[in-house]
Amino acid sequence: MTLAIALSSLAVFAREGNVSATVLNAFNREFQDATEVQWTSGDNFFKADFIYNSQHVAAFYNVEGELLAMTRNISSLDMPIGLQTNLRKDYSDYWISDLFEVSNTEGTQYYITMEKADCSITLKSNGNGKWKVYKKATKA
Amino acid sequence: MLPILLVATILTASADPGKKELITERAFKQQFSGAQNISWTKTQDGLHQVSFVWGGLRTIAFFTNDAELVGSIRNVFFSHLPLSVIRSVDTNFKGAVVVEVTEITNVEGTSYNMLLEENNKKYKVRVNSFGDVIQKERVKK
Repeated sequence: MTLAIALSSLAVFAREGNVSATVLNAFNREFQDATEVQWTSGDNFFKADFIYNSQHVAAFYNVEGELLAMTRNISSLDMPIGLQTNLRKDYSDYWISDLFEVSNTEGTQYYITMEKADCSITLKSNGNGKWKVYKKATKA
Repeated sequence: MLPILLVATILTASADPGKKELITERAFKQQFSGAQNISWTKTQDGLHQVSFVWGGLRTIAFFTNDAELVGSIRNVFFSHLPLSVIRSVDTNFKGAVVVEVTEITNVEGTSYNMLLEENNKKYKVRVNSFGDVIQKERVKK
């Protein structure tokens, strides 16, 4: 569910006034130093995009004010070193087109999309050094 | 004059370590292409230790004789840590200044050693990749 939220397009723009007090209080408690906060909403969740520790981060809340997950785009050098070296070993002929980190109750997961001329592949890892294929697509 | 068989055995034995080092170096170059300031040593338990700069970060990696990467130590920036770790430090050590962060990767997983300064006191803290603080000790000045 978390990745579905992260990847979904959010049809409705929510102004802070439309975000429930429960969610706002939870966010403000958790991220007191957040700046440039912008809210959007989807089916039964709210998303806050903001600056945290000088980085662009997104946080997802359910309607009860429970933090579901946080995501951010990262550089490949920010991943644990085992993940980086395994990519170089197994996917040296691909280039990286997207990489983001998801943080939730299950820990930290990394989703990376790699491409080459005729296909793209999305891999997922929970940071233990192993990548699993999440999605594969052939280019037209 | 030494028997031919004995000479051959000696030569094989002395050539083997060099071959293992070549395999390890090759594995290192493939996994860490672009590394600079490379320096090799051997640990007391027989691992090949290589220190280098990669992606602008000072790194030490440990390889077995079979060229398997079994561990690494890397100086990293606090803001580049997993969000769960950043949040844990922000929550558990509010107001502390993070002086130094080291990422440690081995067979047990990845953890982060940090040196924090809080109210004129220094602490060594270890946080796992889930953000759990697994160790904290005061560093006496």
